Parts: sequence; C-alpha cells; structure tokens
Amino acid sequence: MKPCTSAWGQKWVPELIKHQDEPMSLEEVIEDCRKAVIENSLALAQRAYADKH
Amino acid sequence: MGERIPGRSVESVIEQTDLSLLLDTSTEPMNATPNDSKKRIEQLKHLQAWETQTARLLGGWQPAVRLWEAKHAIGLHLWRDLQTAGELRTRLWELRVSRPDGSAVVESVLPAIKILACAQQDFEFIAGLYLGAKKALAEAYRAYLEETHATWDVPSIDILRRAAVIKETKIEWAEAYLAQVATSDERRHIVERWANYAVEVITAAGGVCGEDERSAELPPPGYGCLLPFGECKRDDRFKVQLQGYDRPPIDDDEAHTLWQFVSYTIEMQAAETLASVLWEGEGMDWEFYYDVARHCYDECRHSKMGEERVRELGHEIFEIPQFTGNYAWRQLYDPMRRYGMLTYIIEQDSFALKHETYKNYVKIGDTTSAEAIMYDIIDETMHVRLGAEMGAGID
Repeated sequence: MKPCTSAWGQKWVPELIKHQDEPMSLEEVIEDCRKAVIENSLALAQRAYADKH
Repeated sequence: MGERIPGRSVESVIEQTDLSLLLDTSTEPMNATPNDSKKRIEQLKHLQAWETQTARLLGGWQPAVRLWEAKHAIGLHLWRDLQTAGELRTRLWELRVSRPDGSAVVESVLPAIKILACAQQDFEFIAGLYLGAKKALAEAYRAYLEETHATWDVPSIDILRRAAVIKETKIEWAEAYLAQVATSDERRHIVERWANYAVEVITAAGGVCGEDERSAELPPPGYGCLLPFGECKRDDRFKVQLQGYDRPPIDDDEAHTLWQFVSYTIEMQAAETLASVLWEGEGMDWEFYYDVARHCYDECRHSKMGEERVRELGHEIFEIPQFTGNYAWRQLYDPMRRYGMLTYIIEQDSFALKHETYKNYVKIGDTTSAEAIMYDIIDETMHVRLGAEMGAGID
C-alpha cells in the first residue's frame, strides 16, 4: 500500500475503523476505498489516477 | 520617577485604583462568590459543547442548503464554531479541566441538537440554528462578560468577547439570508415557528450554559430527521448533471484551464462529503471535529478559488453544469470509507495532476492560474509535511 501523505487521513482513518468496529485492516479498507473510487467516480481524471496506483 | 500627589503616596493611589481601570476592559468587576470559578467552569464546559455540536449540525445540513453563497458561508461558520470551541477548551485546560466532554454535558446538549436537526427545509433549519441556538450563545457570552470578575477571569473575557462578536455577525448573516430566501408569508411563518421552537427546545434542555432546570422531556419536533442527506443540493441558477467532464489535452490551454478551474468549483462536493462525516461521526474525539471542520472549510475555499478564476476567464459558473454525482455515490458508503476515499485516494492521487498543471501554467506564462494552483498545493503540502512528521518512526 502506498503510504498516505495526508496527516488527517493517517490520523483519523484508523480511529474511524476502531469507532465503527470495522473488521477489515487499514490496508484492506484503503484498497476497498480505491476500488470504490475506480468503480464509481464520475470524474474521469479521478478514476484514472486512482487506477494508476 | 512618577509625579507625587500632594499628601498622598503613589502607592496609596494605586491601591485605591480600581484594577479594571488599569486593565483595558469595559467590564466592571462584579461580586464574585467563593464558588464563582466552579460556576464559570460549568458554563464554559456547556458553551464549548454547544459550539462543537452546532458545528456538527451545520455539517449535517450543509449539503442540503441550496443557495450557493450560503453553502460557502456555512463552510466558514462551522470552522469558526470549532475554533471558538477550541479557545474555550484551552481556557478550561488553564482552569484545570483537561476533559471537558463529560457525559452530563454531552447528554444535555446532544438531545437538543438532534431535535434541531429535524427541520424539513434549509431555511427553516437556519432559522432554528442561528436565531435559536446561536442567538442563545451570543446572549450567554454577553451575560458571562457582564457577570464574571474583570480581573480574575481576564483570559476568559478575551475569548468570550471575540466569540460574542463572531456569533452576532453570524446572526446578522442569517437574518440577511432569511430575508432573501423566506419571501412568502408561508415561509416567513415557518421561519418564525421553527426559531421559536428552537428557543423552547434549548430552554427545556437547561439553556446553553446548562444552568437552568432541565425538563424531563424535550418538546417533540413533529418531524422525522432527514439527515444524512443522500444528495447535495444546488440552487435554481445551476444546471446539474450526474457525470463529470473529460480532461482536455494539456496543450489546449484555454479548454484545459477552464476545465481545471471548473473542477475546482466542483470540489464543493468534497466539502459536502466532509460536512456529512462531521455530522455522522458521533462520539469521536473532539480533535476529529476540529480537523474535519478545517478540511471542509479548505475545500470550500478551493471551490471559491475555482469560481473566481472561472469568472476571470470570462464565464459564470451557472453557465456550466455542476455535477453532483460524486457526493451521491459516496453517501452509499459508511463515513469511515468516505473519509478514507477523500484522504487516502482522491486527494493523494491528485498531487501529480496539480504539479503537472502548475508547471504548464508557468511555462505558458499564465501566472494567475499558476499562483491559484500553488495556494492549493501549499494547503496540501502542509498536510504532507505534517504527515511525514507524524509518519516518522511508523513502519
């Protein structure tokens, strides 16, 4: 997984995972997020950049 | 040496001088009781909780506010509310209260907030929040300033004076907004009814300082809660479409520049997603709300930056359809994934595009576009630097 450069993401996604009792690991959640952007985003540039990584 | 007053020493004059005259303050010291600090601490605890929870509520409603200018204003207001809450919490820390979020505070504030969320229309919600809750906060700050000791409590006075002015400015904003939007008798009636109802709810909850007697039950709203919103709204000036735009070739300077700054205006969807996370992330640490509120406001600023540049390029944003579908599909996911998509995927991956286009603007001599992009990169770079510092030592 590419390291997150967002301080806020790095700080709060793990806390939200705990808060929601999410069974997936951070790595699995981030891949889930990437897949969701690639499959659903209506901004073509967003999809293309998400797909490159 | 100071000039001597005949028959009196300088020291005796100072001793007899009201200290409030030496301090630059218009508030006279009042008769503080031995329990004054305890009372003030309880007030400040409740006030910071109301600031925090009203900011969350603004976040919950921001996507459904139709008027574009109001949507921008709310992005700023929710950030200002969290800043005020932060200052109050710092003061509480000085007063030896390191954890101001006791369950009693949360339990007295949250039920009222959840009822105020139940407005059915954006202008109705704004009437209740601003003419009800924010007005109560402004009055509470003024009352505190009147009552507290002008010497002992100077640090609180500095904070509450500023907070009162900020609140009063927002109430003026809301009055102007409502005058613009609530133009029919029916709408004016809804505004008046919901604002009065909000006052009843806050009173029944024990007031924003938590000092008054609390009713066993809060008056029911008679409506179900519409939050969280599955779609973000735009006002009637906009054309809306679900699909985004293809990126033109970068060497088509005019088309690419317009595409890029229209894309910035559409960052309002990111602000709206963050605003919804602010509301739905109930029970998180207070710092989470502070960071998400700033992030939300940053996205509003980026959208505004796009709007201004589009206008400089000879267009109005209302001529170009906005697409709102990215907010809509993100709402199908839980708040944690929405936040993860924005921070780990969308923002992170957009860096390459921003750097590429910045260099191109410099190359073609479009300094204004380059500077605008640079400000955005500076916002993001701050996050990168913080991220790198935070990440040091983490495998």
